[in-house]
Amino acid sequence: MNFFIALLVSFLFGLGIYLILNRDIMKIAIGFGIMGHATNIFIVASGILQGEFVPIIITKINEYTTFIFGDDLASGIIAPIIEGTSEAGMYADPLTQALVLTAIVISFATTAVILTLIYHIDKEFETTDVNKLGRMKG
Amino acid sequence: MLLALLYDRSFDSVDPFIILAFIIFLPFAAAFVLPIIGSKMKEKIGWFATLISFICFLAVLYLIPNVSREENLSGIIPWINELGINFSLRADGLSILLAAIVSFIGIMIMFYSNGYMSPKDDLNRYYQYLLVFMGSMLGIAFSDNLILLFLFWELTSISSFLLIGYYRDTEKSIYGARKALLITAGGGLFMLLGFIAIGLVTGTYEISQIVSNPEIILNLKSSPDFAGILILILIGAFAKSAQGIFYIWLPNAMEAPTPVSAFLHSATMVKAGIFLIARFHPVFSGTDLWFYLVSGTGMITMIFAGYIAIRQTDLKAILAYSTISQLAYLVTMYGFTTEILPTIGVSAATFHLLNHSTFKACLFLIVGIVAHELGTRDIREMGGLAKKMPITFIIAIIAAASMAGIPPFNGYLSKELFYESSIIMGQQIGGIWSAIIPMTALAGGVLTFMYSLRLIHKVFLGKPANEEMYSKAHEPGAIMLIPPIILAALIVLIGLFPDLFIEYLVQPAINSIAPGSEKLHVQLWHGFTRPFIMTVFTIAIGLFFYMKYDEIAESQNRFCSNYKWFSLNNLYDKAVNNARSESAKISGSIQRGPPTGYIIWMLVFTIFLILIPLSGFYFSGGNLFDPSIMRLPASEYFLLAIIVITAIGAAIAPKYIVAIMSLSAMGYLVALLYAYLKAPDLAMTQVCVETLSTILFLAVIMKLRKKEAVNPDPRSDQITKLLIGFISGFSFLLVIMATGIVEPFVPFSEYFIENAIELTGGRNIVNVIVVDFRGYDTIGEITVLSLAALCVYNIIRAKGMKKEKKKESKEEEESTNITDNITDIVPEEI
Repeated sequence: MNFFIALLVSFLFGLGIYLILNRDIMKIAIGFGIMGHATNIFIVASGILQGEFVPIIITKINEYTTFIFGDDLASGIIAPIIEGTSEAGMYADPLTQALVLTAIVISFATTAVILTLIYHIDKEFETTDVNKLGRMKG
Repeated sequence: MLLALLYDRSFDSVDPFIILAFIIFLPFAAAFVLPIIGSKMKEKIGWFATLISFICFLAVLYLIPNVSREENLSGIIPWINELGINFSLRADGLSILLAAIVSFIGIMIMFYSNGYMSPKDDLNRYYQYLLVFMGSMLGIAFSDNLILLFLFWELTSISSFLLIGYYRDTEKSIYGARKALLITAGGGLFMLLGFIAIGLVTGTYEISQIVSNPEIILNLKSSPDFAGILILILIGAFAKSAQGIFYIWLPNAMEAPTPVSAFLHSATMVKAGIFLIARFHPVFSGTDLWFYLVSGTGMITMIFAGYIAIRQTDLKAILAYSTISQLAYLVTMYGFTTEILPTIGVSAATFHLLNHSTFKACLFLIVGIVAHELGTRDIREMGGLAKKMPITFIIAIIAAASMAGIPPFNGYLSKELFYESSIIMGQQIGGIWSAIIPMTALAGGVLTFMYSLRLIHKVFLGKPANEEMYSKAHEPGAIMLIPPIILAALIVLIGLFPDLFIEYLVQPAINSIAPGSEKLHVQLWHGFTRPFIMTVFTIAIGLFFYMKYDEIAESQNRFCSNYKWFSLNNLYDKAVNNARSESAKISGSIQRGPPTGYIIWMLVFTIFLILIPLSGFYFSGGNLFDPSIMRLPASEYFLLAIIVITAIGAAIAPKYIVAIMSLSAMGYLVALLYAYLKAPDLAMTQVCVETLSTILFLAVIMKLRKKEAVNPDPRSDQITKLLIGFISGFSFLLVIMATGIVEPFVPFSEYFIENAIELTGGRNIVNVIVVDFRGYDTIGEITVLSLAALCVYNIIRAKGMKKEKKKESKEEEESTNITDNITDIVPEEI
């Protein structure tokens, strides 16, 4: 995987952890969101590994990366769409993308639950400070 | 007789298996459709349930002639063949006896309930539970597979739990229900272990094979696990029948409506344990262990429960302890296996099984009437009711006399048999036991006599203790009188003409437990035999001690108040309540609330599992950072940089709205990144989801009281948290970079790529995977979303308990401003 993407992913991950440790419950929700992004990017980016010993991005794909949908627009093909049979190894791994697609949608569900919990906690305990919540127990 | 008419016909037309399955499933089916019928019949729904049990009873009667000819009535539907678990049913004498008792008492109870239950009660629920119970009880009777038997067994425990807890609001019934479930269903689990052990030793779960095949029995008896199997199964049986230390649930189960107590907790369900003991009699009996465990437990329970019954002042509690004591009679007798008369114990017990159901159910119904009329069950408040309720009084005398073992009622006959078998058993063992065993039996009889006399004396005779209640009392309606009258008639009928019942019901049951046993002869008068002399003694000693009844009760009360800790109930309460507080303590210490605690533990593992090993690898010369992966197009550097900036913005902005906007911008940028990473579908999805999330975030912060994050912690805390974040991030980086260390697995996406067009006709492989190849994942995803939606809906609707109590007045003022619907956004100043 590209080192800079990896750096971005780990930065976002660390930032997410830092936010989850925050006292403010809204910041925790934001932290969850950022960590989710980090994980998703990591998985998607690992889908363009090519199974070599040292993971690298295949140069041929890399050439097109200046264009977003630049794979073969003339014949209406956008990666990872294929036509007929071709050298299968050229494509980014579609399975990781399918999994992340599910993950994105589910992360929306978790965000919704967390947010309604925040709403409810604020309504009931009149605070967004998790430390105060802990003291209210019992 | 009806029976004689039915006698001359065989099963040419109907498969007996169908009849058996019909008997079992009719109550379940009826319970299922009952709410629909209940909406039409309203408070008359009890008659529907009565009809169902009547049909079941007729079907059982229909089978009796075939069973008494010892025809093989069985059938099997393979279920889980590999494990030897089958849906196999079989009717023999014992199962018919139990099924006849269950369905007949079922008719009586459901008939009676029409008068007992008030129309205001939730009648549908009540009769549904009763029918489910009856179905599972019939299932126990006819199951021929141990695992099937276990299933029905636990179903009766569950329906018993539901019925004890029928009055959901009272603390006591919740306590009683939970106790009964814990003990009976828990005992059932031990029994399941025993069943599985039997299956492992014998290689089959079919009961008829196990109990009739001499080779299998020999195999079991010589198995080193014999003692273990026996103990496990007996735990299940004793827990169900409230024997030994397991008795404590039955008195608390009396919180159920009285018809339920009569049905489940005296006449039928508690007989399931006895039934199991009888079922396994051919397998286990004749061994010393069987005698000591079964008869020993029986005799101790019999005396102990009879003794405690004296202290009780609640009518139902007296009957509960009496039930425990009477069940102990049965257990004791099934434990007796002598060489001279091998089946005397079995015969006595089986006969008493029938008799006990009649007189105890009758007594419970009487108690139900009395409690219904007076509004109390306290025996000290009663007295003199004989004048007010003459019919009830006569029935009560019949039932109580039968329980006490006074001729000419049926209880007398089986008690004589019990005395006789105890004498023979004593002689068999010899030595001091030839005196102790009959003496124990006699003591049990004396205690029974005493509390039976007490019931009649305190409730119906003497002067009324509470004039106000007394004046209100009167004879109940016909609906509540007819069932006890029928039962009382049965008591007299069995007492006077025992042969009829023995021939069709008892003898086939005895034969199925002990094949080829001699015919049981009982008659009211058989000369001055030893059992008769014992009966005379019973009455004499009983009358003598009855004079000192209050003293005995008083001494027990004194003992109990002085030694409060000395009771099994105390032990149970401690165990159960402590389990609650202890587990609360443990979970309280592990789950402290604020997430910081968990994160620190996760961090410890991160450091030890990732950071240290990978750093070690790096510093020992391993190659983690290959220069070839450092290159990236310029546009992407820019993209990554603004993602970082927006993320930092989301993290540090104190105002929620700024943080949310930052987060949202970051989400869109991530979508762009997906496009760069060759994932256009993800880019699309991300844009949609990010839009929705942003709306949701905004909707929630609109509703929050404060629009700013709470003040950050002191600087030192901040630094610790930053450090934790840094270590986690750095570990993650190391992990990502280390993916090259291990041998990569061959991706199997080739399959999707190669087959996409051929199999699905789709060109977009990601789409094809989501909707086609891995369609089940998508169903799972939809399920998660629906659950989340339900969750959100419920959280929004949930009312704050604490707040409601604290600030009722305040809320009233605010309620005008705050709408409950979260999507209904009211613009406020931001």
